[in-house]
Amino acid sequence: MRPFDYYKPKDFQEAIALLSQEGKKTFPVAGATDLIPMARDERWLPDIVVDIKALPGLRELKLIDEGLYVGAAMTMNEIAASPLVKSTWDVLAQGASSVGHNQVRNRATVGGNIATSSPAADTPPSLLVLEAIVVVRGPEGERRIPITEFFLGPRRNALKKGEIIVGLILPTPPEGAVGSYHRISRRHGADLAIVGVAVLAYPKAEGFGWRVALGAVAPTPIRVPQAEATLSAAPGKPDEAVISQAIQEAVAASRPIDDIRATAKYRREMIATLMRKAIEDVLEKL
Amino acid sequence: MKGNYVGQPLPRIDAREKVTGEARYPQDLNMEGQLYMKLRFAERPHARVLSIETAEALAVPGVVAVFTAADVPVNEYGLQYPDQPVLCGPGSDRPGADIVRFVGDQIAAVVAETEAAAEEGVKRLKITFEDLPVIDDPREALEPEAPHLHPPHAPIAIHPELVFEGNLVSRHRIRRGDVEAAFAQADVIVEADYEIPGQEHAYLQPEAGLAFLDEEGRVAVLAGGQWAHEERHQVAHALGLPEEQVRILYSTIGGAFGGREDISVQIVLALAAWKLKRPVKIVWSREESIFGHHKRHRAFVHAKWAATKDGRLIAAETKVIADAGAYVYTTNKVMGNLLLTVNGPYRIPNVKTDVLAAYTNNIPGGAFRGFGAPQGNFIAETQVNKLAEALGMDPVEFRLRNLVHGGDPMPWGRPLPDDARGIEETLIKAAEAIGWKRSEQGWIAPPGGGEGSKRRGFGIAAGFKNVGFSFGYQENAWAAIELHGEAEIEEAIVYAASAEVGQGTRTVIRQMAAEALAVPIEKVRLEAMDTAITGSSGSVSASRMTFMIGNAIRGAAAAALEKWRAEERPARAEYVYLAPKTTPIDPQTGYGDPNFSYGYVAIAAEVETDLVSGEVHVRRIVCANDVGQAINPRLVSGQIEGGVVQAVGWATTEHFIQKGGRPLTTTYSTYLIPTVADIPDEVEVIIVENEEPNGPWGARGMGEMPFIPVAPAIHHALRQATGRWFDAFPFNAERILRGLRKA
Ligand SMILES: Cc1cc2nc3c(=O)[nH]c(=O)nc-3n(C[C@H](O)[C@H](O)[C@H](O)COP(=O)(O)OP(=O)(O)OC[C@H]3O[C@@H](n4cnc5c(N)ncnc54)[C@H](O)[C@@H]3O)c2cc1C
Repeated sequence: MRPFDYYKPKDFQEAIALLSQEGKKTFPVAGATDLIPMARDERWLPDIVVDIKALPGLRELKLIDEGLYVGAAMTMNEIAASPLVKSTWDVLAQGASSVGHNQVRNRATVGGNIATSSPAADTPPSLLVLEAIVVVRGPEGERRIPITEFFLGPRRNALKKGEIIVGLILPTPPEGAVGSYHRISRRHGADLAIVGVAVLAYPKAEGFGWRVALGAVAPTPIRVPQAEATLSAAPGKPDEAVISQAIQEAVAASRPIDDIRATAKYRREMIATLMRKAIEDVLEKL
Repeated sequence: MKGNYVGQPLPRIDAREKVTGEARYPQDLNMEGQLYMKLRFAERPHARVLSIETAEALAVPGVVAVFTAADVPVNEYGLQYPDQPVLCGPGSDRPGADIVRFVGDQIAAVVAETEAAAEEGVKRLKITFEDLPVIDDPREALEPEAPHLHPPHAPIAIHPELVFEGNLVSRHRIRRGDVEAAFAQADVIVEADYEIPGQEHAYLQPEAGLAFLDEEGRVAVLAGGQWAHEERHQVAHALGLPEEQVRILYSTIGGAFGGREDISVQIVLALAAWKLKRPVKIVWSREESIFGHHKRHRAFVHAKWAATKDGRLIAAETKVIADAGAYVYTTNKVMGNLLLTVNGPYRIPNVKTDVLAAYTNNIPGGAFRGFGAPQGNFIAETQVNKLAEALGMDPVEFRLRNLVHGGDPMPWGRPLPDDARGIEETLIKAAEAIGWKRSEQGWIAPPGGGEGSKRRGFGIAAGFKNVGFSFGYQENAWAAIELHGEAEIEEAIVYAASAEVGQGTRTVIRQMAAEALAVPIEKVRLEAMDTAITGSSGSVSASRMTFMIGNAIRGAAAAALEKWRAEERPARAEYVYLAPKTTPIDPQTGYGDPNFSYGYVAIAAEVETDLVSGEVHVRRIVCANDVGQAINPRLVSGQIEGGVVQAVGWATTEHFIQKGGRPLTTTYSTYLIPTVADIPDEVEVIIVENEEPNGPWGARGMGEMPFIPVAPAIHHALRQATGRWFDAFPFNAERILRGLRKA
């Protein structure tokens, strides 16, 4: 592992200044669960590492007018165990509790999970169906990025040099909303998802509104609008024909690859299996 | 036979130092003035090394030396046959030593004052290669037009099975009766192709070591291995030194499972320490460990077996082609055991077996817990389960009708050396424990079932394996006992070269010595794992050490006590135990008397699968193992639980993948050993004790047995759960689902 300079600033000004230095490879770091394995293999060669865990607001989890604010440095275990999260945003708790194993979840943060922008990450599908807003601060001040615009490709996202994810705003979903996250991996303990599916549904004037997001089956985590529209168009609870059609549409919207974990073919089948399970879960709770 | 110590579940003597972190593994050991070594591995599967430029590496501040092929006095090594260069490259007088044959071949060793400098030195080596065609499948390697991966090797008389015909490394066969005639009379025939995967040992401690010149000027290597005296032989051979000039010591070792039977760091370390006259240390990373040491043999199989309506096995025709990888390692011996186990513990009058192993550019195949028996057993037990099904007969019933009984000849023409009661007893006990019932009409399997998309099934498999080295080798083990004191024995020192690889040998040696000497165990001290003060006790492999060293200790204790009674102080006696003789098997017919002792085991499995995802969960494994006499029942249980979990990993989550000679699973995020969430919910241990007539206090070997029938038992359970046979594993979700979708 190559040596680097490590800072743990207490204010944004200093942090952003450190991260903005030209000509240097600078990185924020939170739980370091993604970064340390990369540093060890020298796939990550930073000059300057800025620990963001002491910055104001990054370790907060609180209700705000728009919904729930989750500081970027909140860990997976903190999120998964939070009564606030579980009350209304439970699908995120389900995603967070699927990550790795207990030791990893004690360190892994939600900010790090989205900043890594792995297509297979476990919180993005839930964040997508919750329509989260990513709050970012950088050299040009604060900006808000809808989660749907955050992911640009495998390990690529909308963050610019010097920018830090401060937290996430999870808007309060429509009254009565329930969600479910299902994932499959080759091993039960500590293995990346082969496929992850998040489903959220809520009662509306006629029938229900549906949101569906997929992980690990495209270059980024994705929403599947056509499948959502099909489900949402059903007059009441969607019947088998509607569910099957929506599943087919979700599968068609995916672009899975063959890799060492699974073939694309299996991934497509698992979209169907997991989406059906998630829909059944949600229907039971609606 | 139980005693004051033998048969008692004593806690292991190294438990405390291991859980407190006091135990010192090779990585933890340092010496004043030590240098660090890093290796340049081939990182390509097949190439000629045209040149190695070392100038830039030597210019790195702190780099002291770079060793290449030209520096190795006798540039060859190998446990069974010296077909591997110590360092590959130009400048060696061995033919073909300039060629790398797999990614883990070593090309250069850079030695420096710091680890970082050594690493930098490796990066600065300039090596030019000429890539050569890669063979990554043993079946392809045996095609007539396949290029030969090695220069011609001369066969050696003691290993007639090592044929070296082109890429064919070894050939074993059994010819008994007339299978074709039997097929013509058969009521059912089961024919199938199987593909059996390799496996990584995944021990906790990657390879590491420290070499230095000791006070007597010997080159000493402190590392972790399985057979110190054999390592001494190989190091001395490569360095061109007499064996007395070489010393091997073992520190605490973090697991072995067969993966440390072959040389990894020992020769290069010794070479550097010998030439530089300074201590030299090396620590491999996990990736280096995974591509740097051998794997369980992958094998491709065609099997055609037959039975009659009344439930008699009448013929077994089996052909196995195994992947030996780039070098022999222990392939020929592993194949020998595969040969003996592939027909199961059954009376089969007509047998035709061919076991071939071929060179490829994959990581070498080699020793791994079970040593060929897991592959052989998977074939035999799957064929037997399928035949029972084809006959509409319960698989326990079918086995009971065909199991050998004392005196029945095995396919190699001789009966098992004891009454082999344990085969039937373990089978019945395992089957009953998981829910098989005996009724008037015969045996009845527990019903499968399940809720929602989940389906459960039950499976059974029986197994056996030899204990000890065999096929004509005169199996032996050395021990010495020294008794100190005046009127009473105050201290008993046991000398034994038995490697503690986590199995508990240090504990059972003390138990057996205390028993043999009739002294309190607190008075027994053990000196082990240093070739300077011990003779050879042989390898910790082949489930042999307790059996062999126990007999040696009995002999040494009797002799030392005699001297004690004759007033000698200290009273010291050495003893070499020689096991009953075995014979090689005939290369044409497979006939012979290859082993002096066997262990017997059966596994019953309950497995659940999800029909919509294919996910597999092993709910329960029952292992009944005839261990003769458990010297320490607690350690026996530990071996059974560990062996079962390791085999569940092989059968379900693990998958060692190589493509074009490149391993794709060199990290633990890609090579998945089971976590606590993946192991069976329950492992039930049934210790069966039918005394082994030649074993110490009746003990027989057991370390490998629990592994052996796990995979076929899981396969069988999946059959009940899914209605499908898979014939290849690991049984991961994708394979199961693909099987389910097949019409
Ligand atoms: C054994 C193991 C198993 C794992 N299993 C899973 C799994 O099942 N599912 C899953 O989704 N992930 C898994 N991971 C990946 C990892 O734990 C998650 O991605 C984690 O959430 C990353 O968070 P972190 O705080 O550790 O990030 P870090 O490693 O600290 O950082 C990761 C990246 O995010 C950037 N970053 C971190 N915080 C911020 C911020 N506030 N603003 C801007 N950029 C930031 C860093 O610069 C870096 O590029 C696993 C990891 C390990 C080691």
